Amino acid sequence: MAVLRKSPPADALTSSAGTGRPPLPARLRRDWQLLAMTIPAVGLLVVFHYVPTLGNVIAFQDYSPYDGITGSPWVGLYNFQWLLSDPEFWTALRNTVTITAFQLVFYFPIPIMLAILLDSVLSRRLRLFIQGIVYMPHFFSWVLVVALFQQILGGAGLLAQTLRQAGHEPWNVMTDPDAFIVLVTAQSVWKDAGWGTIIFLAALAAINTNLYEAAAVDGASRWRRLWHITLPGLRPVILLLLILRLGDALNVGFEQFFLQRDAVGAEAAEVLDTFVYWRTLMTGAWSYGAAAGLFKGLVGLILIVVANKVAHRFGEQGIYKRS
Amino acid sequence: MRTTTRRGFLGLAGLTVLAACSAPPGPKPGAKATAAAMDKLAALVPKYVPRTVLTPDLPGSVPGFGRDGYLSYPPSEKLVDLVTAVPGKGGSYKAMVPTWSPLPSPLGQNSYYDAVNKDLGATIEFNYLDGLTINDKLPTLLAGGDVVDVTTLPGWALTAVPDYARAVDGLFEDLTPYLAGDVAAKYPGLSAIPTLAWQYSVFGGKLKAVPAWPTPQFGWVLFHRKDLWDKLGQGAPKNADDLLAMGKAVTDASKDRWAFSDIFPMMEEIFRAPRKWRKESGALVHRYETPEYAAAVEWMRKAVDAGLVHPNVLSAKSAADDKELFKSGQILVKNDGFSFWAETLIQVGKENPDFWMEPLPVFGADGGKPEYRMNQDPSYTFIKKGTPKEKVEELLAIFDYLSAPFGSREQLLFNNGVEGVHFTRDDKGAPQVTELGPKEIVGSYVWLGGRVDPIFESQAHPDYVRTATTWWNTAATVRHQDPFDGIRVEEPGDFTAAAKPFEDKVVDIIRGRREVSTLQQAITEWKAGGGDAGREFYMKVLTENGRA
Repeated sequence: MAVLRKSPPADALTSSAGTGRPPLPARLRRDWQLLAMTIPAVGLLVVFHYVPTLGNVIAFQDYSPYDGITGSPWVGLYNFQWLLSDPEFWTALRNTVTITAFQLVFYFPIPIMLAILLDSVLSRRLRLFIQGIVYMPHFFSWVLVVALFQQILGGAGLLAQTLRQAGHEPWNVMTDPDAFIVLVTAQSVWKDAGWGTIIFLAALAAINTNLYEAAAVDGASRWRRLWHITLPGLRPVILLLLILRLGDALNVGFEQFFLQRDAVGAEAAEVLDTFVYWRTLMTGAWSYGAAAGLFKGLVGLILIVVANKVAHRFGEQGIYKRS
Repeated sequence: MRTTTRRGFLGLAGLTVLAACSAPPGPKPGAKATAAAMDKLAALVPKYVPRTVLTPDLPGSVPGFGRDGYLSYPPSEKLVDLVTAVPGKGGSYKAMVPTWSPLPSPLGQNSYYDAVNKDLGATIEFNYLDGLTINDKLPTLLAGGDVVDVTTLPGWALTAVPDYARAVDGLFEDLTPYLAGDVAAKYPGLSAIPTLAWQYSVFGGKLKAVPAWPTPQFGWVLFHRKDLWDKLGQGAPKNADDLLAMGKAVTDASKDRWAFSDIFPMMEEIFRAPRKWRKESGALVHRYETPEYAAAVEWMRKAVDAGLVHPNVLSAKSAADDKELFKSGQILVKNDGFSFWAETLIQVGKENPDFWMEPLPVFGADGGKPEYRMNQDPSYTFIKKGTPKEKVEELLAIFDYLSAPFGSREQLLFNNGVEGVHFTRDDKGAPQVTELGPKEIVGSYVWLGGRVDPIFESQAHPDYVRTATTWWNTAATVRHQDPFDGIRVEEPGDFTAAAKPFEDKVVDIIRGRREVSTLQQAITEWKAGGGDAGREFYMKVLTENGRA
């Protein structure tokens, strides 16, 4: 978590921020072991990230995999013009942004609350037991999660059959377009909220316990301690994850929506990933798909930069800072 | 209402302004289109020399569409030994075939593979491509270009891949020099594959594949749980209204029993909507535009409104697994492939001797005839491009061996494994699988040869072969006649893309999220969004093939 460190280390030799910066050959001589250690990681990044990223140029081509990038004709912004005039794309974008915004409010805080609750459980064995249970659904596939929700909330599920036996008209939550956004958020919470606590639990462990003791001695109540010690201690991590989440704003996942698309209709369930899937992968419009992907990446980049700037305004480190 | 609040919620008005951007001139991005007719390819394919091993008990009805039936298996001593020379020369090959079954034990721990490979005189190692996700994986698999020595692909999966003709051209070996003309002396098995299947295997003017499983097929078959259907006092529906009334009579949600799965594709056929196009006074009318299609949509909506469709199928079809719901009696009527029948009987019959399913008898929506859609395009077995001549010849000899029909020693071995190990004969001589059988045998070698398979699975149920053959040969007489039969069309990408928004709206109508009256509006949008452009393309194909 070096990026979170507030002040630069005191040692002037290791600081690049100082004015007395040694010349490049001297720095190379001094740091070569450190640089050598980064080579495998950089190599992985180059091979599996930067080189494939170059493939995005097909967004400006009429690309066919059988002609390759060198053989396909260039078409400029043609694919982007089509994309922005495509009503299906706008439906997908609208749904994606709505779902992201909803989940920022109703999903994002849940792992934080859960982590604080877990942290306050004193019995170690009980805590590990609860952690084991809430982590587990993260490893289930979406098909399994959807099937499980179906068994409980579906029209032939537990809820509906109980209602039927009591003589009421059953409500099939799974096929109600108005309930869809709540349903997918509930599924995400069930599947991933436990897993999301890990990073917060680590941050909680890093808070100095002396602070709590001192506050308790001063007569601070449980809520006061939460408000003045726990939450400020978590703030850098919360902001870091929030900014990263914003960068991912246009990715809400594929499988969960793909599986339930017909249940509530494209009007409510089409998101960018499902749009790209049927509109481009299934019709051979590879360039069109790459254009949609670039659009997503661009929006993500803008959101990250803006959010990071805002974080700096509030005196926070954010995810990066120019030194 | 919902849309308005959502937009307000996010203040997305700005996006809506951007959405008014106008589209550039020129076609929507997507794959290019081609078409090729089969009847012009006679010179490129092997000469047809039929071979008969056994006389069928129940002969097929329509040539090319019907299927023969065999009521019993011939005893081992009466099996014909068709291939006496060892076809292989000791080569080792990797083959990829689709599967819909759990994976068998791998080579090295699988006595079935060992037995067949020994008889072939070569080693074939199978990789399996998951049939359920084949449509999702194939476009990237072919575009990636990383194929093994032998690749078998179902015709319907291959032709759904954008630009598939170019993929086939770039990835697979040209077999024309090996197989064109009279090759019956060298490859008697391959020469007995019907000519039409071979003609479908010509891509871009070159014979590129050996037809795998060139048996005619029904796209869908409408099965019902006849055991439960009879118990609930229902008979055979005479028309669509009958079926709806019977559906209402058998559905009882509090007893976990629903009449239907999502049977809309079959209802289209029962209402006689065409597969894709119909020729009406010189013009092409698309399936979506026909009154028959609209009637099928309306019928299906009624079934959903009346609560006759299983809720799990409506909420997440792929997570619901309607095969299991059908086997457990929660769904009484569902459409599936024909092979689902024998498979299910073999699997469920042991646990539940009363279990009996069969297709609903042939009926049309108005009491007349339906138009069942049949495919004649086979699956394809390709050899990787750049394979040396002697290896191609070894593989072709192996494919020739694996084309041996029912009644031969070879077929019993590669279909059922070794007697006493993978199957035993029951008192009627029909092979019954041992416990080991299904663990080692899934459809693998059967893909690599071309046989028109008769209906012969008498081990499934004493009544199976007779009922199945009778149904098949009746249904084959009411098949849909497509103006594009025998022409392989690669349609324009934007035409394919226009279908999805339209079908989404139809799903909305059927599920009750849109009014039935909005169908006309959806058709208008489909026409403008690529439907009319597609019509022009298809009309040109008809004209070029002298069928306009």
